[in-house]
Amino acid sequence: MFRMKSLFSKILLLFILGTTLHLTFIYYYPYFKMWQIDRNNTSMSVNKITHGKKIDSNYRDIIRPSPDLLYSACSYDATYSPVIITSDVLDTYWAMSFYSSNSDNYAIINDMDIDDSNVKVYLFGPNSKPTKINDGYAIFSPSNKGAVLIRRFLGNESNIDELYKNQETLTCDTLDN
Amino acid sequence: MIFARKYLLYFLIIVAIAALETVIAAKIYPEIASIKNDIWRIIPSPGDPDRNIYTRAAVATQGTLASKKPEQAYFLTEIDIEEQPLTGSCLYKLSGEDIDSRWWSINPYAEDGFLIENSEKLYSYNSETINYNPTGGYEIYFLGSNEFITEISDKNWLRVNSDENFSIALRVYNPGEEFFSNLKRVNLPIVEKVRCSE
Repeated sequence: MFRMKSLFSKILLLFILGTTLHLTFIYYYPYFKMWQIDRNNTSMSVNKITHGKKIDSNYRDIIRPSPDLLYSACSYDATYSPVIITSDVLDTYWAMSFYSSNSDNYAIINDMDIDDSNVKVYLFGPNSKPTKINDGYAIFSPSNKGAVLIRRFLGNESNIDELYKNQETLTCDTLDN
Repeated sequence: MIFARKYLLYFLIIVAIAALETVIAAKIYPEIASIKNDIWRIIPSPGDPDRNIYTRAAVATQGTLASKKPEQAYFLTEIDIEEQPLTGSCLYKLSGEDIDSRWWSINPYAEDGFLIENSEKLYSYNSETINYNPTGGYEIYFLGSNEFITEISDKNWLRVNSDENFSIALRVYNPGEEFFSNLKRVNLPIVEKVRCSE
């Protein structure tokens, strides 16, 4: 009877430890994917913009990419200072999405939310001191590091030159610089 | 030595349990987290910060930088209306009506989840590039074999790989909150098999 109990306890303990390992893997997998995306974009140094070209079948960085969007991205680090992101805004669909280090999309602003032809975003990290903002949007990142992704609708591509020019208006830098 | 071997065995059992649970979760969780609308599947707000760890992991596998609602609705199908897998050896017709939204797009993906190489360099149709029929609807044909081209060359068509299965993605941008509250019943395109290669 005692042996049975001991065997059952052992099996239960192994199962609990296996489940804990499984849950740890599931929890950290999105962090790993974000790290992988960051690593694949070798040109994407911290707080610097990377511009994508029109996506075709050679693209392999992120699974299920949209061929109808022109992307730009900034891999940010707001540990020591807020990050300032500026860009011209298009009349056609244009959206700026903010992702934390575990891939959560914690904020989105698109062209419909913005009245002006350009936008300025102050991106604060979790340890940043709150600052009053008068000339832009204040966005609070739940993690110090993450990514900002800008999506522009290609439509029938009649304005593709304008979309490429819009990429050039994008900046992503710390407040200190 | 026996002591070390015993603990190595325990460690391997723990890893095996974790691996088994992960494989089971990877198989069943995308189904559980998804809403079905006929042939289409959708995770209602795939980028949402409030999603649970399984949804977050499932989305990281299938499209890491996903948007939260109401920015975008992202539907995917791997089957036709007879619930058979979409295969490159057959010709398929997708029929739909305009979707009330800012814009929408439809494109196929290869089995690996990436765009399909084609000499036409045409990967999708969207609400601006699609040729609508006189009734306001549209059809898109999916084909992997050149033997079907003559019958559909003047229509909307996209190429898939002839030797593998494929999936079709439907993205709907800014459809509004009401759309998201009705995901099981919103009117979406249907995909039917026309015929297969002999």
